[in-house]
Amino acid sequence: MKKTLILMMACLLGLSIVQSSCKKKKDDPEPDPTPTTPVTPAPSLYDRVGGTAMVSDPNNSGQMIEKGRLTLRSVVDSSVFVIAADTAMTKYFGTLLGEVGMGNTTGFAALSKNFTDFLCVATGSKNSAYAYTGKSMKDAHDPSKNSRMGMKVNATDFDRFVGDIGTGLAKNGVTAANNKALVDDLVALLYSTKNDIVQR
Amino acid sequence: MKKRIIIKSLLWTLGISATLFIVLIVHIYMVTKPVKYDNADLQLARIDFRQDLDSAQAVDVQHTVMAMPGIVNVFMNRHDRTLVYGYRQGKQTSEQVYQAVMRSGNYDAERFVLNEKQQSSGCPVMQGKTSFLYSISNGLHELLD
Repeated sequence: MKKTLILMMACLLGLSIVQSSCKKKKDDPEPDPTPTTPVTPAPSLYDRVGGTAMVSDPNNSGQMIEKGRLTLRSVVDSSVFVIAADTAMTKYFGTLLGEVGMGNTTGFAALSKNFTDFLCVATGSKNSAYAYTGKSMKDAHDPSKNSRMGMKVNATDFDRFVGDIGTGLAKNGVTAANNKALVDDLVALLYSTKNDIVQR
Repeated sequence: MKKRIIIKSLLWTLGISATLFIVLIVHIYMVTKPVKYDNADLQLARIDFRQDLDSAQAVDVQHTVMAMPGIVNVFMNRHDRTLVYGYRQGKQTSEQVYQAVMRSGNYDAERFVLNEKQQSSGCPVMQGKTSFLYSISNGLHELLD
């Protein structure tokens, strides 16, 4: 009995030595003799609009928010007002103006959160708290797969929607005149969803 | 004897069902967390004008609305003749805002009210608030948190 126990302990010790030596080899690879220049990854769009730096949240006193998310949320919130005032968009975004009872989440709050989540992920945020959990863009805009979609979106309305976002950007002080690169990249990001959203 | 077996079976069935139901409720509570919304009480409303507004009138209307308590933001689209504003629920109503605008200039305008069809269709990112699971999990969190 004692012999078996000693043998088992020896086996375990041997196994752990083998395992640790393998790990060391994997973690500490042979140095590459050729000198390389360190590559700094290009900042994501999320980094360029503020990134993960924590700032106080003007909407929730005493709470902090990532600066990148705050920027995107401000743009979304301004854009939602523009969209709600655009009569051509009412057929898609009418629920924004639906009045709900006290204590219920309004259409504005729902759209602001979901669209901000979507933009955070799309611009490169790694914060899991901002994960977009909705349907795929294609399914969400297909009336046969989403009963809330009364009709398919056409290219003209999609362009108009992007224009409204542009107005929202301008209301936040970002225009093609003062930050063309950022506007171009954001517009390109929105247009990357066009094939999925425009279905007629 | 037979009666005893039936009663025993019924009690077991009830017991198992109740246990499974409790497990389901606990599971729903554990895996769903309530979504936290910024500005959850911020309501949008729109006034549609049936007349053109010059820039001075547009500024005047916006100032009138912005000066009211509970108003958060105002946006005027002169091209579409619409005024959109956000207000805090419980601190303002769309009817009061409309009346204030009408008093300020006696405009030809109406309050935009959604019809039933518009209410039940629209942007897909606002879906999911009526599902069975959403109702249960939301109710549970409201009850227990």
